[in-house]
Amino acid sequence: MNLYILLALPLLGFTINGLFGKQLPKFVVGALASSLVFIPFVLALTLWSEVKEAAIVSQPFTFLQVGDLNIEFKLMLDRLSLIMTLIITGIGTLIHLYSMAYMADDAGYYKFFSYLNLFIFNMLILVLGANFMMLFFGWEGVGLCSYLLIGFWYHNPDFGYAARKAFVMNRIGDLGLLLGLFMIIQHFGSLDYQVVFSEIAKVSHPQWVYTSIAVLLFVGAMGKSAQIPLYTWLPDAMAGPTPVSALIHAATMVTAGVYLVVRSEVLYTLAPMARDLILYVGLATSLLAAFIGLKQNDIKKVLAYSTVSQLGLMFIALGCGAYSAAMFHLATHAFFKALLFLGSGSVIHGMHHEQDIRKMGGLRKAMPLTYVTFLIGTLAISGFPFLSGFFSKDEILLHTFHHSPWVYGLSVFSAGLTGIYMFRMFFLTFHGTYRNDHYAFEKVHESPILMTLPLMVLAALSLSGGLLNLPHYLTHSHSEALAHWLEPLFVFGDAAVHVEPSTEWALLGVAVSVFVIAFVWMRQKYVVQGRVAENDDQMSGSAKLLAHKFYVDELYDSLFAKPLQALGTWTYRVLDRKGFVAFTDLMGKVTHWKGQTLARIQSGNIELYLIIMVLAAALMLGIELFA
Amino acid sequence: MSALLIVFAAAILVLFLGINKPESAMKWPSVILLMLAGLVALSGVDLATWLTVPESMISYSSMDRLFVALLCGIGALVIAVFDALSSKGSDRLGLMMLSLTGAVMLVGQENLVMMFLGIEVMSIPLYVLAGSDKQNIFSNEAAIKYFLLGAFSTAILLLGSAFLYGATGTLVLQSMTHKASMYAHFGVYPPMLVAGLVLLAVGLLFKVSAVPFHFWAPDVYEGSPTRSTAFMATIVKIAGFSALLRVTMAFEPMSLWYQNAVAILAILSIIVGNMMGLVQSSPKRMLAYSSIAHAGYMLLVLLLVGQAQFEADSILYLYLVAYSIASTGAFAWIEWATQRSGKMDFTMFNGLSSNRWAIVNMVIVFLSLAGIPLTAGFAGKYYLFASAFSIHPLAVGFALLGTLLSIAYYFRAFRFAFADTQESTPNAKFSWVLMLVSVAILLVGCAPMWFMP
Repeated sequence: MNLYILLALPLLGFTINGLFGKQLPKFVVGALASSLVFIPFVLALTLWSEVKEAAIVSQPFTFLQVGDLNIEFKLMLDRLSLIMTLIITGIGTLIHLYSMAYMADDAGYYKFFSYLNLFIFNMLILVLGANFMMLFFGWEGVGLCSYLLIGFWYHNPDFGYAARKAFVMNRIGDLGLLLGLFMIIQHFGSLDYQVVFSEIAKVSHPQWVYTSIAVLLFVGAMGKSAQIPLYTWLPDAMAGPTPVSALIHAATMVTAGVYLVVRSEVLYTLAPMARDLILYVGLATSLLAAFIGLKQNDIKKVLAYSTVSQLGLMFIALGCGAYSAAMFHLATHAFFKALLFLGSGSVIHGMHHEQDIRKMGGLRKAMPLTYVTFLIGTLAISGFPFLSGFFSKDEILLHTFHHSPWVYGLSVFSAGLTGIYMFRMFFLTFHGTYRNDHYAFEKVHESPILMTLPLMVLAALSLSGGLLNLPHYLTHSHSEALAHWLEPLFVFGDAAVHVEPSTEWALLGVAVSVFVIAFVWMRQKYVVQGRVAENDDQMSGSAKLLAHKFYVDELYDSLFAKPLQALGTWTYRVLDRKGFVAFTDLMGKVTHWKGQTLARIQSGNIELYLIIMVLAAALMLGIELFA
Repeated sequence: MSALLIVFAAAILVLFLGINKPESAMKWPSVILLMLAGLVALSGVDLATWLTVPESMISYSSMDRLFVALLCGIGALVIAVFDALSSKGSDRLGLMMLSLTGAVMLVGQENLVMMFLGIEVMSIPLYVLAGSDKQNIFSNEAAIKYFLLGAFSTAILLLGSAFLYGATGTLVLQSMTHKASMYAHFGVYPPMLVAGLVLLAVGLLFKVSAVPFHFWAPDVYEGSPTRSTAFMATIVKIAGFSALLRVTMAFEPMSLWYQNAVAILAILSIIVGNMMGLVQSSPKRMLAYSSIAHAGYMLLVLLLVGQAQFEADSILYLYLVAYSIASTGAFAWIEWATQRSGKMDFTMFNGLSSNRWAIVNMVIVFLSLAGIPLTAGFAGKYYLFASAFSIHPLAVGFALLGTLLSIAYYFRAFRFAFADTQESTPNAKFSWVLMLVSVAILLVGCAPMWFMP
């Protein structure tokens, strides 16, 4: 089967809805968009066994040809991109369905769905591309869609700024990615994965080449996957409609950086310094975001910081060389984070656009379905035994333990924080007493079936996601399922981990006890004692620091934005107005003045004309005859 | 040759049939006759096989026939695009076609006598046309000025021809080439040859209004009725440059000798034309200076003569196509705006932007004159500058600077057209001829290869 069909369907949806969506009935728009994502999902499923044999490569055609460099438009469906494709289209379908209800009253309904389809199209290019150019194409495309969807309600200027922030931050990362691509072209003469990776595997270049390419690509990943220092855009990106947050800013797009590193496994294995950088950046991001998440009161903001933290965890895994563990967590995270976001959307929908968890409480009675599914999501992300998050997080922790004890300690700490902020939010939202004076509790309602159905499917996935990659102590097989599936793709493979079974059980015990502590503590605080998060003006000291996100936005503002703005003002006022403009004005004035002087000759006096003509002719004669 | 006869016959026909009839009666017949002449020239059929003309006097190569077709086409366009005068008599149309006869002769000339004849047949009706608005004192002034200066330049041209005859013993251009190559071989040129060539060039440069022989152009262009101005600015340029190119080709062996002089004249024309264009308050006068600047650009073509890798004639042809179509359009817009507002300065364009089709067409015309990509003007300039750059980069540098300046004054028309929309209520006038002009400009701009022989 032709891989282009996978791409063509969402693109078709984008075109139809973009051009004619306004005239079509809403149901048709939504159903069309959803089915054009669902069909690629089914198609990808049918390709499973074929991909298992060998990667499917599409018929390439020339995309760009510059000198010796020939860049092809070429798709490749291998074991890695198949997983990504299934996640993107599968969760994408659910979120499309959900959006049909969630966005039902929005004036830009058709626009929303055409953007969503465009996003799916670009994301598929990103993961299906068989060379770095295609990856870059999709990379920029999803960036654009992210921008469009964050600023979807652009009538609110703050949302517009959030979109702009996301775009600019991503551009900084993209610069790194681009430079990395340039270096790849310079040293390997191609962008094709096969060519580049087999060249790299020969280890024929000096070490610094690998390190710098790896670091530059990681800079790109930092932007897209919201790592320090480029993470600040992701929490602001919550300005977009909630389904967008679920699809783009939790499940798919933000994991593109992880995909990029996993894809370039050869490179990163050969660049240990770059991997260390990834490890520490991931660790720092994971901790920082988890701390900030402790004191956020916007339901979506908590989830956003949790996403940043979980992405950090994935990068920790990558830094340890545990590529399949990172992919495993990517998949389970996609399940439960999409679930949590959609659940929060359901809450926001039921509460009529209230997002502050201090104004919620006791919602479990009003929204039972949302409550149950949200509970499953919370348990999964906090590492409740035998749910998906438990397994995937555990595998990462195992790798960090093997790497060094203190990295392990900090990672466990971060995982504990996850439980704390998640249960804090969960209890504040669904337990206790209802605290909103402006919106009667009786009016809070459960969401329609179109919204709860995706919740239930995702809840099932969050429950069972661990099956993807059950640890060997449960299956007694040599290696885990997902790791086994991905193994043929890797040249060097995952870093090997050898620990005693007793140590392994001990680690499990630590993880479970961390979960239990978080759960019991939060339950005690918010359910038994019935405390509520403090108001903004009551905060002090560390709480204020956390609530204000460590003042990182303010720091960036005064470190980069303000000086750049000052520089811009200066260049405008001095360099531009007084320099260039004055210069060009002067040129204009001089020309004008000269023209007016010249114009005096053109007085209408015919004798003068004749004299000048004759003199000119005489001059020419003189020069030609005597010179 | 057949085209020449058709144009001539048509001129006589229109002149006599149009007596005591309003001009509008003869307008479309004249256009059709000229188009017919153009088509005949294009196809190359010889309708007058009984007529034998010595090759040494006049002959049309396939390139010349293209120039003839262009002349006839632009002549038809000028007649078609301007409103016919309401007064009795079609003498102006007849005179235009007579002048065109001279231009066609000039394109085919192989002999200095024919060249002189062509120039005179072309010019004398022009003097009359310049003064054809008899009630208007400026028109009269223009006619007198044009006539006096024109007569003077013709005298210089004749003197040059005489010297050349004295130096080479022949009037046939082809024979002169042999002589010139002989002299070039030894590297010495007799003073009489040099003097003859310079004076001949001065006569021709006057016709194409190159600096410093341009003084007549602004005064005459402004004073004459706009239709006559458009005719002068296009037909005379086409015929004049065709003749200039032919003379240059004849003296091609001496190219090293005259190249710097040509470059200097081109640079002067570009500077003066553009700088003066910048300070004009009347669009018509601005276009006069713009035509001087365009003459400067086209002089660069003469630098290409003798360079085997460039086809100077087809580059010139493309430039002339672009220039003359856009010029005619520009003059037509000025005429229309003047009639509408009764003003002579740039304020005539005020509020034009509220008439959508008019503004679109006008913008295309002026963009083409300025040489913006996707218009014919860009194609013409591109091929010209790109080829001339390898020969004389300095001159091309000036040409580029000049183009930059020219944008300032062409776009001034837009400023007035878009700035004030309250002042006037433009009457929507649709002219399919002007629409055709825009389409032609875009067509040439998008596919210049089709128009380069």
